[in-house]
Amino acid sequence: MNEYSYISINEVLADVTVALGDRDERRLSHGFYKAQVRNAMDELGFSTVFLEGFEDTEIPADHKIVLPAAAYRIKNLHIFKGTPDNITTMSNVYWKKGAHSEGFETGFTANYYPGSNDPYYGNNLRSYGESIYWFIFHGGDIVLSDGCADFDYVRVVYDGIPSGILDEAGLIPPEARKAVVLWTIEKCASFLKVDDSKYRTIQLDAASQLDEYGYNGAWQEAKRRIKYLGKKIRRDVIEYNNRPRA
Amino acid sequence: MALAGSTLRYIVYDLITIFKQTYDDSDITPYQMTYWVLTHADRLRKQHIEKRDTGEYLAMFDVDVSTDTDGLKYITIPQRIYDMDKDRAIKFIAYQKEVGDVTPKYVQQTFSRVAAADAQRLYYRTEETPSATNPYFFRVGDIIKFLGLEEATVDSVEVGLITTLDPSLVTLDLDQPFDFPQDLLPVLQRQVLDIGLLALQTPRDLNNDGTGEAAGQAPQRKMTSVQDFSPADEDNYR
Repeated sequence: MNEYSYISINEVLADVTVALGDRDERRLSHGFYKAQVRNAMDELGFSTVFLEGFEDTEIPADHKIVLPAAAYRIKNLHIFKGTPDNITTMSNVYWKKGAHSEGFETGFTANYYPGSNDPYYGNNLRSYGESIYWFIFHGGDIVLSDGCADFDYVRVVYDGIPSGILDEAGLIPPEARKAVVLWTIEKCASFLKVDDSKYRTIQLDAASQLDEYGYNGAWQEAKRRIKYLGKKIRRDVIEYNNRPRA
Repeated sequence: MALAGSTLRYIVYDLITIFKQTYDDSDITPYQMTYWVLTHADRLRKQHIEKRDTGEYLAMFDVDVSTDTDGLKYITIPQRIYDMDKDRAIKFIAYQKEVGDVTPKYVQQTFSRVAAADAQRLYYRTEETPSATNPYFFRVGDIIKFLGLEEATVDSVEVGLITTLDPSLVTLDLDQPFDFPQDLLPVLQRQVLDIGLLALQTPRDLNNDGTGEAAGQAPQRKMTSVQDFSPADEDNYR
């Protein structure tokens, strides 16, 4: 399934507005409904991480990379020579625990420091010396180590926030449709009950079918479906895990 | 507008005839009776519309858009509408989003309703922020102002309104079909009869019953307030 199979916000709202008796969207505005659908997708995205994205950035002089706007968590960090459409050499970049740096050629502090004689923190990376490429987070930015200057680009691979990546024409994976519809009904009914207590009943009905924090509802079903690996991938993973490493 | 049914003239003269049969001295003019009928019919019609979700009383207008001194686009409501909760007498407002799009305006780009005092909250997040693709309207008396169209070129909008009957309309044609639910005519008739009976009710001793006896005398004795009590008037209270 590719992103063109995804369904739109309006397809969800076609169900939601009927369930809430608000076909003319007079009780809540269209924009308000749209925001709730996006919230539902983001909540599901945080639980299942179904959208992977990546962004290529030329390594700047100060080695500080702004985290992509739609990134939720970093999945991989690669640096490479050449251009994004003609990569010649690449290397992994590793997160260095407890290190702090202001950027390129400003030095850094860390418990494990190359050449350190610290009696408690031995330098277990000593054998790699400066050749290992690492990064840290500083002020929300990614800061690359000085050694990364050998490369041209950095590719940030991340788990994406759905509403930041997908547009409203195709935001919702079909297997999550039921969960998103129920989530939106539940939230909207909870907002509407302040004016009309009948929405309390609608909210409770939707919440029980959704069972967001339990295991017997549409929310858990959607998470399970999204996380389920296709047969090909599952078979390959098993194959990979059963091979002795060289 | 109803396709057929009773005309206003039929209803008005029917009621005048009923009053004449009961009170031969009654002098209710057709103009006054029309006013009574329209006043009560308007109230019943509003209640009827609030109970039923139909298009029977929907009126659609194309209205030219103007721009006020603050740069906000607005229209003037073309006809008096009912004052319903959350401006529900304004069923929709829509404009043509794409030039050349032949689909009706009301399925192209409709406006969301907001109260003027609530409008600031719309700017708190992107999805709700007014724009040409997410416009809002709010009502200020007979003016409807728009949010989100400040930068857009919109010459006219289509509005769907639930308009009222107008009791003060002196040019009303009594022979046009009366735009009123036929099934509520007995209720309307009863309500107008009630107000007529009240208007024609007079004290029995002042009725002209043709016997020639003098009308009853009004009380002659001076009324004294208990607050003005003095021993000199004591006899009056024994």
